[in-house]
Order: sequence, then structure tokens, then C-alpha cells
Amino acid sequence: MPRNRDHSPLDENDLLQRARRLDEAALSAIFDAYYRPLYFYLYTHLGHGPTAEDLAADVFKIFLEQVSAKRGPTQMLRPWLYQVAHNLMVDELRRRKHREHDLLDENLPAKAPELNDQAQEADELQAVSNAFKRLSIKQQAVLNMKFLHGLTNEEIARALKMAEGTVRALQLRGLRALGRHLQQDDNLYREMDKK
Amino acid sequence: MNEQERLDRAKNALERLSSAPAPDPLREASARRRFLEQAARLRTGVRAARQTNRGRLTIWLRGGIAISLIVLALGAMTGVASAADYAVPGDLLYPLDLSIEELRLSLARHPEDLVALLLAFADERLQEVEQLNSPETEQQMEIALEAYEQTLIDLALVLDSAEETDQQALTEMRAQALSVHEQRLLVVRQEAPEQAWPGLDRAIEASQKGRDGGRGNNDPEKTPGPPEDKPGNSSPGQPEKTPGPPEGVPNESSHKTKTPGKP
Repeated sequence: MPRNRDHSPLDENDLLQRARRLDEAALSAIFDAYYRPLYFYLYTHLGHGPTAEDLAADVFKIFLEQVSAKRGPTQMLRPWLYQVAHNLMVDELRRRKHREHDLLDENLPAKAPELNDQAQEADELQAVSNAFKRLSIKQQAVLNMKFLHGLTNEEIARALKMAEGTVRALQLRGLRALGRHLQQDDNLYREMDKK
Repeated sequence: MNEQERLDRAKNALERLSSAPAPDPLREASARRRFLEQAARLRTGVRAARQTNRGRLTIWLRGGIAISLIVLALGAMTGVASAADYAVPGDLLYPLDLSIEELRLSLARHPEDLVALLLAFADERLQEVEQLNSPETEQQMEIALEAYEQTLIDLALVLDSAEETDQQALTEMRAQALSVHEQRLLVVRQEAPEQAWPGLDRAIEASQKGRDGGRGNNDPEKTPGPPEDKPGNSSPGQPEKTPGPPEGVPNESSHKTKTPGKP
């Protein structure tokens, strides 16, 4: 998954100011820079490509609506976009709870029994994904933004509307919990293998 | 496995999550196209809104200019009218002054309003006479005097056409005003050049007739009775029957003897 392109604050702010004037080139640049990272962020949580694509597109739609109404971000565009994506993701998860659909299972890479390596890879990915899913939404979001998207603690704090200290605490607790879940799964698999 | 090893493993496991499938390029391109189309629509909308605002501004601006022009025109008209009010015969604005007075008379509906207006105009003519009382402006004073007499004739016509119930009050009103006029005219006559005496005497006579309840001397059709019945009324064609002014007021014939050069 490609990481975000590095934009210096000055470049990003310049881009944002031009985008706020609905400059086509600036809007194109913003879309090209952030569509995929946002898609991957959403996909990690939702595990469903089309939904992640739709929600990523919705982030930009909302951005345009806000900008044209003279609202929206005036600086620090990236955390603002992730904030919107996160909110859309949380809404989607709530809706999903009602529908009781488990789209993640449908869209994980299918096992290929004839290829042992690939099958093992898929198993491991499934295990990590399951362990990740057992974290709280906030822990997931912090770990996702921090380790998969390279956001700074300040940016994460802005995106999730929390203090930087909270971000650091969630990050540590999330990693610990993830490691614990993975070890529990390992132990479970070992016991099953023994049987 | 110690704590640090678990954390490292967790970080490595997170890296595995990054192996998500890339988005569908077609859907991504479609989302990009929709995004830019939406931006273009918004740009057009913003431009249209700006033009509309500019249009609104233009309408407001035009309205403002129109109102300003009307106010200026009204202001100018008021200023001119005000200036005309102080004009005397011989001034450029004097005809305008008379026209404004005509207009005011045409707007008045009730006899009492008409009488009040005509008395005010007669007073204004009298002021003009007083102002023009000098040998250099004798001709202008003559014009003012004629206008004064004409005003009294109009006044008599209004009184004739008034309801009988109103007539007495209006007649008293006229009598009071014209009594003052007569005194003022006598004062003017004392200081006036001899050439102006005939005109002044006619005005004095008219004011006396008005004060005594008669009408102006230039309205033969409204004076059906014989001159002897209405001593205050006489037609212009019968100057010899016109009685002289009351005692103490010099009459026209007596002044004519002092103004040999005057026709």
C-alpha cells in the first residue's frame, strides 16, 4: 500500500488555499494524493473494497461541499480528510451492525489449497485481521493512522479530536492488546494442532 | 515472549494489513471524474452567484442613482421654488413664483383655503410693492400693484361662489386683512414717487372696496346692480362713476393733478 506522499505544510497549505478557490489543478492534486491512502485506511477497517472506494469518494464530495460553502479546513488538510473518513467509517460500521453483515470474510483473499505458501499467508492475514478487529475502534484508528499511514501524533489528535497524550496512550495500549490477541491466537492454534 | 517482543510482533502484524487490494482503477477514475465535475459545477455556480450579486448590485446602484437624481431634482425644484418665492417683478423667477401660486390655488378645494391663499398672495404682492418703492423700480412696482388688484378680484370671485353659511366668516377674514393692506398702501404712497401714485390709488381703492365687502373693479359681469346700489363696485368702462376713496385718502384724480406727465 503506498504511503501518503510527503507534503510540506507550506505546500499542502498552498494546495489547500488554491483548492478552496476551486482551482482544478489543486483539486486534482489533492485527489491524486489522498484518494488511495483514504481508501486503504477505510479498507483496513471495513475489509470491503467497494465500500471503501465509495466512502473515499464521499470524503472528497464532502470536502468540495464544505469548501464551496466557505467552511472546511483552512490548514492541515490531511488530518481533516482522515477525520471525515474515520467518521464515515464509524457510521458504516454502525449500519453494518444493524445489517449483521460480515463483509470482511467475503473479501479477504480466498484460500488457495493447492498452494501451501499462499494459504498460509492468507491464514496469517486472517489472524492479524481478526486480532486487529478485536481492538477498540479508537485503538484501531490510531494504529492504522500511525503505522499504516504515517500520520504524526498531532495529525492523529486532530483527526480523532483528542489530545496528543491520549493518542500516545491509545497507541501503546493498542499495540499491547494486538500483541496479546495474536499470542492468544497462536496458543489456540498450537493447542488445536496438538489435538 | 516478553513485552517488547509482543509489541514488535504487533507492529509487524500491522504491516501485513497493508497488503490490502488496490482500489478498482475504473472506480477510482470514475470517482475522480465525478469529483472534478462537481468542482466544475460549483465553480459555475459560484461565478453565476457572483454575476447575480453583481446584477443585484447594479440594480441597487441604478436604483440609488435614480433616487439620488430624484432627490436632487426635488431639492433643486424646492430651492428654485423657495428662491422664486422671494422674487419680485423684474426678476427671472417672478413668473415661476406666479405659476407656483396658480398651482397652489388649483390644488386648494375648500373656499376657506382659497381665501387664505389669495390673502397670502395679496400680502406677498404688497410686500413686493413695499420692496420696489423707489423711483428706479417704479415700473416693477406698477406690475406688483396690478397683480395685487387682480388677486383681490379673484378673492371677490371666490367669496361670491362660497356657500352662504361660509360667506360671512370669509368676508370678515378678507375685511380684516385688507384693512391692514390699506394702511400699508397709504404708508407706501407717502414715500412713493409721484409716478407711482395712480397705481397705488387704484390698489388702495380696491383694498377699501374689499374691506367694505365689495368686489374688485375689473369684473363687470359679476356686478349686475347699478353702481349706485353698490358703490364699491363699478365697471372699468365707467370710471367717472367710481367714488373716491374715503376721507383722508387721496383719490386718483387729486393725484393726477400732481403727475402731469403721467397718462
